[in-house]
Amino acid sequence: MSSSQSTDFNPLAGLAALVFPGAGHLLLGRPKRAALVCTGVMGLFLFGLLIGGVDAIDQRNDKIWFYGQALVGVPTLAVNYIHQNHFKATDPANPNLIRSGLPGEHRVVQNGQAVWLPLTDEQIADGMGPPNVPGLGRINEIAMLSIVLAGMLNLIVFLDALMPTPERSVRTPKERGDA
Amino acid sequence: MMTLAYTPFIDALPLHDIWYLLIVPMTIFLAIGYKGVRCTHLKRYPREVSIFIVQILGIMALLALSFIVLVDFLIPMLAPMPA
Repeated sequence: MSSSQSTDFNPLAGLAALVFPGAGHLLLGRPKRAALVCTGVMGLFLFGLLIGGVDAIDQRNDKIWFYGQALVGVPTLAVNYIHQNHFKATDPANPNLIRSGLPGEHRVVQNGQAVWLPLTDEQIADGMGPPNVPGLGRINEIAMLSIVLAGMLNLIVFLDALMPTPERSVRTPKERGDA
Repeated sequence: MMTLAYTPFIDALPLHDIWYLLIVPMTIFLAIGYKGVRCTHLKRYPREVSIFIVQILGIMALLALSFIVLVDFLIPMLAPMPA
C-alpha cells in the first residue's frame, strides 16, 4: 500500500465537505476524488432542480425532505433562501400563510411585504402570472428525491473526509511478485 | 411577471409521461459520486462505475417486473374478483 496523504481524523475537511461537496477532499489533497464527488453530488442536485424547478427545495412545505436536502450544504440553503424570499408571498386572505403562487395571481411587494394579487383577464392574456411553475405529482417527488439522494451521498462524502481512507494504487503483477 | 416561457431551474419540466426514465441520469450521478469515495483504486474507477450503474438499473428493472407479475397475474389468480 502506498499512501502519502493523511488518514487522520480531520474535522476541518469534514466541515468543508458539509459546506460544499468535494471541498473536504480538496483540503485532503485529493483533487481527483474531489472532482468526482462534486460531479456526483452536484449532478444529482442540479438534475433535481432542473426537473422540479426551484419548488423542489422548500423548507416550509416539505420540511422532512428539506432535512435530507440540507446535507448538500450551501447550495441547498441558498436555493431555499431564494425560493422563500423571491418566489413566495403572503396569501391575501390569510396573512399568516406564505405560499407559492397560483395561476391567475402575481407577486407584488407592498410596504416591504410580498403578497399575491389576482390578475385581470387582460393581464393573464398578456402572459402574466406567478414567478414559477411548481412541480406536481411524481415529477415533484422525483426532483425532491434526487436532491435528497445528493444530500445522502454528501453524508458519505462527509464521513470519508472526516475519517479518510488511505489512498491505494493498483499493484502490477511484477510488484506483487507474480511471475 | 411573465411566465409563458419555461425557465430552467425555476419551473418544473412536464415529464409526466417519461417519469420512469428519470432513474437513468440519477443512477449515473449516484454511481459517479459514490464510487468517487468508495473506489479504492482510481484506475478501476470507470469499470466500477459502469458495473454499479448496471447493477442498480438491472435490480430496479427486475423489481418492476416482479411487481407487474405480482399485481397483474399472481394476485388475480389467487384472489379472483367476482364477475
